This record gives sequence, C-alpha cells and structure tokens, in this order.
Amino acid sequence: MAVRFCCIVASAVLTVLLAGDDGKAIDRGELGKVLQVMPPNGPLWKYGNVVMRRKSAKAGMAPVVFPHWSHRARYTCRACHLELGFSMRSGDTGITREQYLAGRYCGVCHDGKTAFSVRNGDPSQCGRCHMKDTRDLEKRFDTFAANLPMTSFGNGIDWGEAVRSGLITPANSIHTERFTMQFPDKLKVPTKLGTTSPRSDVIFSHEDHFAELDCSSCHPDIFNIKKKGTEAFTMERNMYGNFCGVCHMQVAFPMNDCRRCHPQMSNSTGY
Amino acid sequence: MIKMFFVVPILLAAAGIAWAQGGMKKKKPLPCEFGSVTINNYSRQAGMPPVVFDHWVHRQYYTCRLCHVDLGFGMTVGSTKVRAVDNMKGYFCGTCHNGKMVHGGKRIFESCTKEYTREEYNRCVKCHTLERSAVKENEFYRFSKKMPNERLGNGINWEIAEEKGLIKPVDYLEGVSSKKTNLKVTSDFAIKTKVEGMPDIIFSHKKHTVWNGCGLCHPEIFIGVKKGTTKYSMVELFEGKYCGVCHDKVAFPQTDCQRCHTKQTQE
Amino acid sequence: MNTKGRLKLLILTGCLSLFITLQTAYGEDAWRTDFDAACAQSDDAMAFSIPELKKLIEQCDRVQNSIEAQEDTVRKVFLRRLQMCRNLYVFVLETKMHEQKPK
Ligand code: HEC
Ligand code: HEC
Ligand code: HEC
Ligand code: HEC
Ligand code: HEC
Ligand code: HEC
Repeated sequence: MAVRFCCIVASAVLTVLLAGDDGKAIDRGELGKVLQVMPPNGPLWKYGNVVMRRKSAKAGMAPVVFPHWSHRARYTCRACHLELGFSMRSGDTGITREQYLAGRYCGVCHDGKTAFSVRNGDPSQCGRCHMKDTRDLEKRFDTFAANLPMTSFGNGIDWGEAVRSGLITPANSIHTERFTMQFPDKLKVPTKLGTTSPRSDVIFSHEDHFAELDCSSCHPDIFNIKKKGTEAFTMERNMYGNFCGVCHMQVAFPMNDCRRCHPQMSNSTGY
Repeated sequence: MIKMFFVVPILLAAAGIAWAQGGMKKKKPLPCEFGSVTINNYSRQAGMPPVVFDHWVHRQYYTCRLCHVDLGFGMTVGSTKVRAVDNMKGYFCGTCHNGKMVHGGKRIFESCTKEYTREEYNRCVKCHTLERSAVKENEFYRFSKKMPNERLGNGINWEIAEEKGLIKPVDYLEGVSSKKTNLKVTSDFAIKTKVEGMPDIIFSHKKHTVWNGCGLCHPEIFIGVKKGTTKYSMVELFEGKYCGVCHDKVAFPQTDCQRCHTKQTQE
Repeated sequence: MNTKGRLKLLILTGCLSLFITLQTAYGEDAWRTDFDAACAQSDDAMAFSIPELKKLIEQCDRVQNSIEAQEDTVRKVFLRRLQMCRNLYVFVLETKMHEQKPK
C-alpha cells in the first residue's frame, strides 16, 4: 500500500514538473491523479499542528508541538502572524529560548498571566509544549471539540460556523490600540473566480478572509493585485501548497472539502 | 496510512522548490535585518568580506537626506561604488568613520586603511562582516524595546520615535552639508490621492522633505510625475518603483497597507 | 629679525601647516563656495520664481566645469550632488512653466 502510494506521489511530482509553467487547466485524467495525491483526513486533533524540533533536539528537549486549534479559538490568524511576527512558513521565525523568555513570540502570552508561563516553575510546565508524547493533547482536543459544529474535514470543526454562532470569539488584536484599515466597500461582494467550466466556478469572499487576516497576508506575495494577473493560478498548484494552498491544506480547511469553494461540485475525492 | 502523512510534507517541499516563483509566501526579513544592505562591488575581489551596512544603526542618528543627498550615497544597493580610497580620503563612510569624529562621547571607529595589524582587523570586520553576529542582534532588540512598536519592517515606528524625541536624527554636518541661509517658508502641498476601491492615500510632502530632501525624489525616483496626472500603480510600487524605492527596503514596508491607504488626516 | 619675531613666524607657519593638513576632505575651495551658493537652497525650490530658477540652473552648469577638474572622489561625490540639485530645479521649472501655460 505504502509502496503504491509512493509511486503515485512520484509520478504526480514528475507530471507536475514536466507540465511546466504553461498554466493551462489540466484534463480529467490528470486531475484524477492530483486528487489521489491529496492527503486523506488524518486524526482530527493533528490537523494544523506544527512540530518544531530543530533547536529543541539540539538542547536535548522533546520537540515542541504547537496546536493551531487551541489558539485559533482565542485569536485570529492576524493577531499572531502580523502583530507578533510569526512567519507563515514553519522554521522561518527562528524562535529561541532567549527571545521567548524576554517576552517575545510565545512569551507575549505565555507569561503566567494570560497563559501558563514559558519559565521553568514548580511544578515544571516545560512538558506542556515540549511534548514527549501527545496523549494529553489528544485528550484535550476531545473535550475542546465536543461542543463545536462538525465538518468532515481538517479538524472536523466548522470554524466559520463556530465564529458566526458565537461559540468562539477570537480576538483580532493583542495590542488592542492598533487601528486597522477600514474594509473597502468594493470588496464586500464575494468575487466569482471563473474556471474552465461553470460547474467548478469558485466563490471567494474577501470579507470572510479579512475577518481573520490582513491584506498583506496575501498581497502581494501570494496574489499580486492585478485582476486576472495572477499567473498559473491552477488547482494543481494550489494542491502543492501554492496560492490558496499556502493556508488551505495546512491550517485552514483542507482542499478535499471541494464544495466549500466550488459550491456546485460534489465532494468526490474518492474517500 | 501513517507513511502517507510522512510523504505529504516532502511532496510539498518538492513542489515548493519547483514553483518558487509564484504563489508562495516570501521569506520576511527579521526585524533586525530589515534595511540591511550588503555592499560588495570590490571587497570580495580584494580579499575582504562584503560590507554590511545597517540602516537601523544609522537612521537613529542621521536623516536619510544627510547621507543620500549630502554625502552622495545612491538609492540602490551597490550604486555608489564606494572605494576604500574614498573612505580613506574622508568621503562616504569615511566622512564619519575617520577615527576623529566624536559621537556620544566616543570616537567613531575608522574605516579602511592600507595597512593594519591583527588587532586592527577587528575593526575592519565591524563593516566587512564575516557573519551575522548575535551581539548585534541583541543590541538591536535592546534598542527596539525602547522604541514605539510597529508590526512590520524593523518593528519600530520611526516616525513616532522622532516625534516623541526618542531619536533626534541630525540633518547637518559641518563642512559637508551646504549651509542653509534663512529658509523661505514653503507650504506643504499634501497630496490626496483618490484610489478606486481602496481608502485614499494621504502623502505628506512636508514630512518627506524633512526626511529626504526634494532632490532625492525629484526627478530621480518620480520620473516625470506631475500632480494630478499620476502614472503609477500599486503593482509598480510592489515592483520597487516610486514609493517602493524606500518603502519595503528601509522605510515601513508596503505590506502595511493602512499606513498609506488611510482616510485619517495626518496633517 | 629678533627672536620674538621669529617665534611669531614659527607659530604662524605651524598653525598654517596644521590647518593645511587638517583640510583633507570637504575643503573650502572656490568651487565649493559656488556649489553651496547654487544648491544650499534646493529644499526651497518651490519658492523660487521662474527667472530665479533659470539663474540657478546656469550657476549649476558653471560649477560643473570646475568640479570636472577635481580629483576622482570629489568628482564622484559632488557631480552626484550637483546633478540632484540641477535636475530638481529643471523639474520645478518645468512644472511652473506648465502651470502658467494653460491660463
Ligand atoms: C549613514 C548614512 C545613511 C543614512 C542615514 C541612510 N542611508 Fe540609505 N543607504 C546608505 C548606504 C551607504 C546605502 C548603500 C548604497 C550603495 O550600496 O551604494 C544605502 C542604501 C539605501 C537604499 C537601497 C537599499 C536597497 O536594498 O536597495 C534605500 C532604499 C535607502 N538607503 C533609503 C534610506 C532611507 C529612506 C533613509 C532614511 C530613513 C536612509 N536610507 C538613511 C546610507 C544611509
Ligand atoms: C553620518 C555619519 C556616518 C556615516 C556616513 C557612516 N556611519 Fe557607520 N556609524 C556612525 C555612527 C555615529 C555609529 C555608531 C558608533 C558607535 O556606536 O560607537 C556608526 C556605527 C556603524 C556600525 C556599527 C558598529 C558596531 O558594531 O557597533 C557599522 C557596521 C557601520 N557604522 C558601518 C558603516 C558603513 C559601512 C558606512 C558606509 C557605507 C557607514 N557606517 C557610514 C556614523 C556614520
Ligand atoms: C566604516 C566601515 C568600514 C570599515 C571599518 C572598513 N571598511 Fe573597507 N570598505 C568599506 C566599504 C563601504 C567598502 C566598499 C565595499 C565594496 O563595494 O565592496 C570598502 C572596501 C574595501 C576594500 C576594497 C578595495 C577597493 O579598492 O575599494 C578593501 C581592500 C578594504 N575596504 C579594506 C579594509 C580594511 C583593511 C579595513 C580595516 C583596517 C577596512 N576596510 C575597514 C567600509 C569599511
Ligand atoms: C518622498 C518623495 C518626495 C519628496 C521628498 C518631494 N516630493 Fe514632490 N512629489 C512627490 C510625488 C509622489 C508627487 C506626485 C503626487 C501626485 O501623484 O499627484 C510630487 C509632486 C510634486 C510636484 C508637482 C505637483 C505640483 O504641485 O504641481 C512638484 C512641483 C514637487 N513635487 C516639488 C517638490 C519639492 C520642491 C520638494 C521639496 C520641498 C518635493 N517635491 C519633495 C514626491 C516627493
Ligand atoms: C507607500 C504607500 C502605500 C502602501 C503601503 C500601499 N499602497 Fe496601495 N497605493 C499607493 C499609491 C501611491 C497608489 C496609486 C495611487 C494613484 O493611482 O493615484 C496605490 C494604489 C492602490 C490600488 C489601486 C489600484 C492600483 O493598482 O493602483 C490598490 C488596489 C492598492 N493600492 C492596494 C494596496 C494594498 C492591498 C496594499 C497593502 C498590501 C497597499 N496598497 C499598500 C500607495 C501605497
Ligand atoms: C526617499 C524615500 C521615500 C519615498 C520615495 C517615499 N517615502 Fe514615505 N516615508 C519615507 C520615510 C523615511 C518615512 C518615515 C517612516 C519610516 O521610515 O517608516 C516615510 C513615511 C511615510 C508615511 C507615514 C508618515 C505620514 O505622512 O503620515 C506615509 C503615509 C508615506 N511615507 C507614504 C508614502 C507614499 C504614498 C509614497 C509615494 C508617493 C512615499 N511615501 C514615498 C521615505 C520615503
């Protein structure tokens, strides 16, 4: 099974590499292959967890497991990724013990007041982040998720619905005094992104994204602001972690939940 | 099944390499690295490590105008073509880094010399940087802690720092800058730019002139731009033209949309 | 010459040579004074009238010739400074002429 999967993966990578940069829509056969590459649902508690082990291992500590699910219930993406300067690529931020002890990064909240402290105390709290095993985390997820609305993908939690129904109220800012840009009226209407066939058209809401993020989270690195100017913006590329795939697949709902973006399509990923 | 999870990151990494040119998040410079410029026209060939110049170290003491107008440093990396002899004669870096000029009670260390001892080499490598030093990084964080906080760039709001008097950049060096006689009063012609679909831009000519001087922007950076007939777009700015010459590299980055696209009046 | 006079002369030459050795960079030559006269006011460019601007541009051109005759480093620094200041005057002049025309 694993061997076969690896073959599929390898051939998909090859197809993708050979397909090059022409950015044309792929035909059904190839799409089928790409769909097979898409990872199936994993354990719900595991989706969006980031494991940081490079520096920990050097210092003889267990790796740090950061669960997005427990944090995103309290803060929007914006609060951490913009205000606190956490990169959206794992490993880029280069967090050190010295920095968080000085009250930066994790230390902003994990100060013993807002959340448990990064300092070594009695009893030692180190193990809450430097996890030898994740059994405790799994248990906490079950209690955490119990009352939240379900979906079949990612964490198995419909985060959008959870916010709308007031079950979670993530704060948009840690330094509350910051003024954010007023949301332009023009962008309040959801944008239709045309695809090769009307059945697969995508409805994109700027407003829903702005609720969690900032313009600069996407512009201009991921999407430049030229209309239809984003080159080679294809499903294939999304799937491999580009464009929408920067977030969807990693933390935001994964792309096997086709209908969330393609409302006319059925969720047929083969699983 | 477990193996699959193992494969996905590898797959993503491979795809990332193949497609690094589009749709990906770029690496953001760390706050201490923002505005850092590596000058290497001649150093490597002459057997010295490249020069690393940090704007954050210097802009707390001097205005952009002083260096970029009065001392003649160019606005793109490497464009000035500084030679070691220029520094030795007391121009460019050597204007200040001459072993004589006093700053904060200390002499500013000297720049290039033809001959040097092993001990003096330690001075060379302050500029001809061998590698990023943790000492400098810590110095940056110690400095930035005292400064008003900002989300992007250096993580410092330089404008407020100046307003509050936390930094007092000097705009005049005796003998170097031209002596200004009585200033005629120039009124600020703040420019309000109407942008469809985004909050309008309020650009303060006056503030920018104090920081940069007219000559730096006109006509070099804003080639042929006349009031009301703006010919530049956001995409061009993101490509590093016009406002993007400074913003993104040294002044606050253009990802901070609301600092330009603001309807709040900023004088 | 008596000793007192000789001492005076000695001090004077001493001072003079000290003065000369200290005057390495950014000296007070004639061209430098001309440069300052032409460019010191560039940040007030908007306040000049059209004839004033034209005169300043001519002044710049004259200074350019004397700077061309200087050594390498001085040429590198001051030709750039002069270009920035001259081009600004030209830009402001063009704007002002443009404003005048339609009316
Ligand atoms: C102490 C002198 C000094 C000061 C003050 C200074 N700069 Fe610079 N700047 C330099 C030097 C030196 C370079 C490199 C020039 C070269 O490589 O030829 C440079 C380069 C630049 C570049 C090009 C960087 C790149 O990556 O291409 C920009 C933009 C810039 N400066 C803007 C500014 C702004 C804006 C300010 C004021 C906030 C400022 N500078 C203040 C000396 C200075
Ligand atoms: C207008 C004056 C001025 C100019 C021009 C200038 N510097 Fe500096 N520089 C300073 C001052 C002042 C300091 C702070 C010195 C101190 O803290 O002792 C400094 C500090 C530095 C440091 C930090 C040293 C350390 O490790 O603490 C470096 C590196 C440096 N300058 C490099 C350069 C280079 C390279 C250039 C030319 C491209 C340059 N400087 C041009 C004034 C200047
Ligand atoms: C204040 C900063 C500073 C210090 C200190 C400094 N240099 Fe430089 N040096 C520069 C800059 C800027 C350049 C131009 C870099 C380039 O374009 O590669 C340069 C260039 C050089 C070059 C290139 C040769 C050439 O023809 O221009 C040599 C060699 C050199 N320096 C030697 C030294 C030595 C030796 C020392 C120590 C005694 C030293 N420098 C200290 C700033 C500095
Ligand atoms: C940070 C760069 C910057 C600086 C510094 C700057 N300007 Fe401008 N200037 C601009 C921009 C941008 C515009 C065009 C505005 C628009 O789009 O309408 C402009 C427009 C102008 C215009 C044409 C508009 C009009 O009023 O007719 C003139 C003339 C002008 N500037 C002169 C000056 C003078 C004189 C100074 C120094 C006192 C100066 N500028 C300083 C960026 C700058
Ligand atoms: C340094 C100031 C500055 C920043 C920061 C900035 N803009 Fe702009 N923006 C401008 C200017 C100047 C224009 C052109 C105005 C005009 O056309 O008159 C513009 C125009 C625009 C337009 C109109 C369409 C176009 O292409 O000209 C859009 C959309 C836009 N900006 C989006 C953004 C977004 C999104 C961000 C943040 C990621 C941002 N801007 C950050 C200065 C800025
Ligand atoms: C020559 C360099 C330079 C250019 C070009 C430039 N800026 Fe700036 N700008 C600065 C510096 C320096 C600051 C000070 C704040 C900082 O460094 O973060 C600043 C600050 C600002 C601010 C905040 C201060 C205020 O007025 O409230 C705005 C807004 C701004 N710039 C807009 C623009 C726009 C729009 C353009 C293009 C039309 C532009 N800038 C072009 C150098 C520049």
